Amino acid sequence: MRVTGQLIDYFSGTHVNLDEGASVEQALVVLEIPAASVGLVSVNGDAVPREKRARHGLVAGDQMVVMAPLTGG
Amino acid sequence: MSWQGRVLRVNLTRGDVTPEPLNMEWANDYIGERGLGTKYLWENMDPKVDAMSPDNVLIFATGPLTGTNASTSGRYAVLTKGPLTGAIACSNSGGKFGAELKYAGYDLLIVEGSSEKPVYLLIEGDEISLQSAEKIWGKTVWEADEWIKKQHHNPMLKIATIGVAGERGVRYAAIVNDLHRAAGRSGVGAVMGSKNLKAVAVRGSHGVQVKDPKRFMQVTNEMKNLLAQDAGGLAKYGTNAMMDTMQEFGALPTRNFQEVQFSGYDKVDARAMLKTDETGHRNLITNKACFGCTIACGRIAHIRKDHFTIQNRKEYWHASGGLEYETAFAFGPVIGVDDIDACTFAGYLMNEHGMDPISFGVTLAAAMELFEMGVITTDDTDGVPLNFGSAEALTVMSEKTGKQEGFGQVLGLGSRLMCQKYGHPELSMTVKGQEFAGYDSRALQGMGLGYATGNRGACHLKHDTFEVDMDDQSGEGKAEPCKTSQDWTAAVDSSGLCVFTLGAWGAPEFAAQLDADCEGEWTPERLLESGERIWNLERLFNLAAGLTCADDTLPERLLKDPVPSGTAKGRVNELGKMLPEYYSLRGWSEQGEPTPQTLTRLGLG
Repeated sequence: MRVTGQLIDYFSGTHVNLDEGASVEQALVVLEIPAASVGLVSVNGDAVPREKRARHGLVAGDQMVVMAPLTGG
Repeated sequence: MSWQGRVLRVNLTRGDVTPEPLNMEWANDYIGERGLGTKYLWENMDPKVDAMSPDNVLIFATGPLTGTNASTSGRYAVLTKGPLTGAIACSNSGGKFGAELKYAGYDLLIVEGSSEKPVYLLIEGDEISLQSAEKIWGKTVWEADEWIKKQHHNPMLKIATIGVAGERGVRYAAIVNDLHRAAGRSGVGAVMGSKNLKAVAVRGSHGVQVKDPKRFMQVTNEMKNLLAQDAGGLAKYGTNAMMDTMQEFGALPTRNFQEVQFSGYDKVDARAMLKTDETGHRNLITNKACFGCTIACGRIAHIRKDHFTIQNRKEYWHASGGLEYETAFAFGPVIGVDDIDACTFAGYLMNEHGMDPISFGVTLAAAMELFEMGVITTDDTDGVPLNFGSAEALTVMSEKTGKQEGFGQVLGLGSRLMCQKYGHPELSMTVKGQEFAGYDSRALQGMGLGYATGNRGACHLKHDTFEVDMDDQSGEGKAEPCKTSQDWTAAVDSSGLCVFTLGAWGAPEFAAQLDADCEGEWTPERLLESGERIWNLERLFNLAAGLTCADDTLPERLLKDPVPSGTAKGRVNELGKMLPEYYSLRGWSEQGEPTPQTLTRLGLG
């Protein structure tokens, strides 16, 4: 598990224990990251679109990245 | 009412300065800053003139909210015909200079002609004069700033100045104000240099008046609270917090856009800036706000004293402007460098000599690719190997370009002319001659459309498609948000406030502040229509300057070479699909020209 950008204040570890079959959306709840604050989630390098977060199940060993929104710089 | 109602016209050829009333009809249609400056530019010059000729016009423009109690109200813009692109240049900056110009009693400063000898414009209260700059011609931004303040015994002067890069025509020379804020893009500093104008120094003695003070205070306080709830960590981490997101997303331009992920990203990102090393040194000292800003995203940093760049140069053992995302990208991934102190030092040099770090870094990236291909050798580069990853190449070439010495004169041409010179125009990562910012448009499709259609060339700040680009990595549905956000950003840029408020404020929030500030009824709809008018007038300027729809394109690398990794692996930019839809939404012909109906609708006919 990894979070990026300004979201790093929510989580600075490397692993999260989730219930078996937990979805991406449920993982965000465990991390207490508001959905509106998330730019994109990827699992094992593949983008998980916003509308699929609730359906996309995670399995042990998945690498999930929670990316902050981009804002220009 | 927060327009001051006055314009200062400076004719450098004649050596005179003349105040004149602000055209309020134009102010009502174009708001201020970027929009109003564009209108004045359009009415005061022929877009066909050579950008470096005395016939080009240089405008410093504030907005109706500049200098007010609204948050982020320190913005001003510089408008001219850009030498990097041959297109309209609009480069805005923060710091304190913009508010001070407003307090001097002027909305706009229009500079015409060219002085026979170097001069600077001094505005102290109501006293205005052109002063000899012969003693500071050839001096750096920092030296000139200090000299002018001492010369006039006035440390409160706010100064916008050029360095040697601007004097000697570096195509991406910046105008730097308050030592390390800059109107950085498109070469506005080179135009200032071509006019023999070294600096503008201002100390104002007027306030600003708003239409409804009580309502204005109430609204701006509400807006500050909204910002505080949604500053997005900018104060703590700065814009460079985006670097690790770009890395994970796979849109971080690396080694001249050959790759989109950089293994050394975590040595130059926001966390690296906050990390204390084994000697107790931490790159970041503090954050810093521009005038009136409650976000405070600016960075103040320092370099390890034993670093090779400054080990024997005590004059750099001080704190100064630190890395923001674009500088970190331009001195890091795009040239393959992961040395945070070298990147920070190069950032100092950009401010000291007055150059755009994005254009410099991306030009150096192209030079490095040319070097690794064997097209240029150390015989061309003053003996310096220009390999990707070389921190020495970065810092040595930054200084050579700033001083216009040796190969620095080639780098000062910008990527497009340099790559043409060596017979490889395809290596230039530019649109209309202006270098890309730190976003690869194969992973961010709407960004690519915004780059291609950008009126000042490739630019990441004139539209906002980040959210839709992250949600969907195809080119579908990107034309509408690109067009709408371009119009909206044009309105925001014309207000006198900063685009970094856009996470918290939308059209109703901006309209509420303007409506309490300015005469007339300001609604979200009026703001959007004004933005669309501004965008189309910029387009008309470019068409009159000779640009065509053929200039609305991207380099072949982004259109044909699939992105090698990241979440968008395998994609190219789908500009060919997006552009016709964009033209249609804009009410433009297939040749990218506004139709008569569009011009009439916007009052441009």
